[in-house]
Amino acid sequence: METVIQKLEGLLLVSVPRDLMDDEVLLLRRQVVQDVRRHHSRWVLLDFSSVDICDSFFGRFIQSTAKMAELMGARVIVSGLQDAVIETMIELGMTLDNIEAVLDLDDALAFSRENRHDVIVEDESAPTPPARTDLAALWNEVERDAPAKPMET
Amino acid sequence: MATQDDLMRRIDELEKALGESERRYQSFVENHPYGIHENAPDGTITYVNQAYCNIFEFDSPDQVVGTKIWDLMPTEEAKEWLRQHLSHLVNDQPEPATDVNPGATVKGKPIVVRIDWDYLRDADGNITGFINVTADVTTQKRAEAFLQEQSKTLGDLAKSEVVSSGELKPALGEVTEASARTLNVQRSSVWLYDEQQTKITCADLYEAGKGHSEGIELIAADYPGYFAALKDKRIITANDAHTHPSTKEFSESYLSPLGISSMLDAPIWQAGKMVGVVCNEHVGPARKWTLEEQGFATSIADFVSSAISAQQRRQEAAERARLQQEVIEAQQRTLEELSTPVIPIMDRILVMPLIGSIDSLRAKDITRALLRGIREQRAKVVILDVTGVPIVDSGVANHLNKTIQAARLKGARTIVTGISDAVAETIVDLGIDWSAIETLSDLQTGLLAALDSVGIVLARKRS
Repeated sequence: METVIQKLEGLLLVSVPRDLMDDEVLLLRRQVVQDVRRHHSRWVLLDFSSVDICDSFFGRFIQSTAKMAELMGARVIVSGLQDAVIETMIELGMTLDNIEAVLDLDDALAFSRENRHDVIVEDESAPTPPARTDLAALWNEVERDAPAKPMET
Repeated sequence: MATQDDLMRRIDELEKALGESERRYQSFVENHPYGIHENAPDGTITYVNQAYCNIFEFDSPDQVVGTKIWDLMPTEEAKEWLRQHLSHLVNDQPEPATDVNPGATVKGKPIVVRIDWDYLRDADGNITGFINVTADVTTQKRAEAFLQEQSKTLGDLAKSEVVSSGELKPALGEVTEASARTLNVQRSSVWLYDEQQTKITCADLYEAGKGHSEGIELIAADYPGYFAALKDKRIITANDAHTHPSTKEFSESYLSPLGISSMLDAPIWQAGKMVGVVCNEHVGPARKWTLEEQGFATSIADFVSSAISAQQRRQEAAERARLQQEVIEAQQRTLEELSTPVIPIMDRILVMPLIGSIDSLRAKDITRALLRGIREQRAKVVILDVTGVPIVDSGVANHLNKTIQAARLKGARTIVTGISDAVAETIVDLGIDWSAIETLSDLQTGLLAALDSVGIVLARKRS
């Protein structure tokens, strides 16, 4: 799989390729969490601008990646969702309620800058990272999604 | 009282008169254009005239006299049948009648003859033989058969759904096949002019036993005589195509390689313009085209013309339908835009006033228009104004929820304004949970909230 993950400031930019096979999705998710750890990223930006089809597996990928990132102290932003993809997601009830969505990369960058957590003087209006609750349940879900082999640490 | 001399003279006179009468009849019979022959009751031919020899291709009457009438019959069964028939005539003596029979000459050429016959009797009424008058009706019968075949072919074409369907290719295929079959030629083809009339292209060629092909081109400038003839003749009848003034240009390059000897070409006219030609090409010994065949060829050209008209009508109808569809689609788009207006009122702020009832189809249009608006205007905040929506029930609330979620995935926050007291009442009474949705009473306060969220501050000028 080509390199689709880049580090940009405190942001980990993931350009999700179109036509991902199911096992490639799991591989991508594993790489994302590995890179979050390596770069100490605060934000994971999933950019979907080249994705033009969508199914329920795709929604699960976003949700589970978001949960894993949360476990490691990062938050997920999605950007560049195409109109048709959004229409399908709404039809399928995939509303990504706890995930921030922005129009494109510009807005994503602006958003992450407005909401930095690694500055010494924190902006009071900035949202705080979610509390790490119910770790066991989250871990179980991760295990269910990626049973092939234990995650490298 | 008459003397013996008188009697003798009278006899001489009578004999002379009889001789004259006999010579007159003899001459009449010998020179009659119909074949005449007599035969004995046993079938032996006792007399034939010259015309009979001509019809059956005998060299002289001597060849025939003494033979049996069934000797010319082609098979043993036919000979036996004629023997039986003759004995039936002798024994039963039916009324004389006219027979029309196919047969063959002594040299084997097939002919059709009509025979009128009668009995020859002696003074006591006993049958001594038969006299037969034979006419060669081959040409007439062939013309009749051709006319029948032709009218059947033309009738079939006139009734054919393929010819009038507007699908030119299969229509031409049917026409060329019918033409080749009816005219009994090896090659029958339809050629059509290009727009500039500089060349003709073979649109369909039917070759007997080979099937259909197409695509050969002939440049008009290479064959000036032929193309000039097409323009001012109703039909080109080339019995010998190698020497005919209109077709001899083809002799070396086209006719000789294909073994074509005779051509019967009818130009296709349409709306006063020559648009092509139907070519009938005969392979083998040269043949003489009959008037009936020429008439048939022009009828075939007319059928091609009507097939082309049908195709044009069909294309025109398709074009009209397409235009109509375009107009309808344009109107639909306008209507959609009118019913789902997205108004950018300030940097990154959109207002979408909703007017009229909202069903699931319209909710989809609204979502689609809103997503497009957000993308194009890079909007951060969307104000959905529901002042013009007469009833907000759980269905409408559901639709609006989906629209708001879609906008959020596109990166825009939604404020719903125009919640009247009546609507607020309904929403609460129906138990619709809109607590997660930002709602305000009117557009004005909605706008202030939107400005606030994108960081724009309104300030009054100091006077």
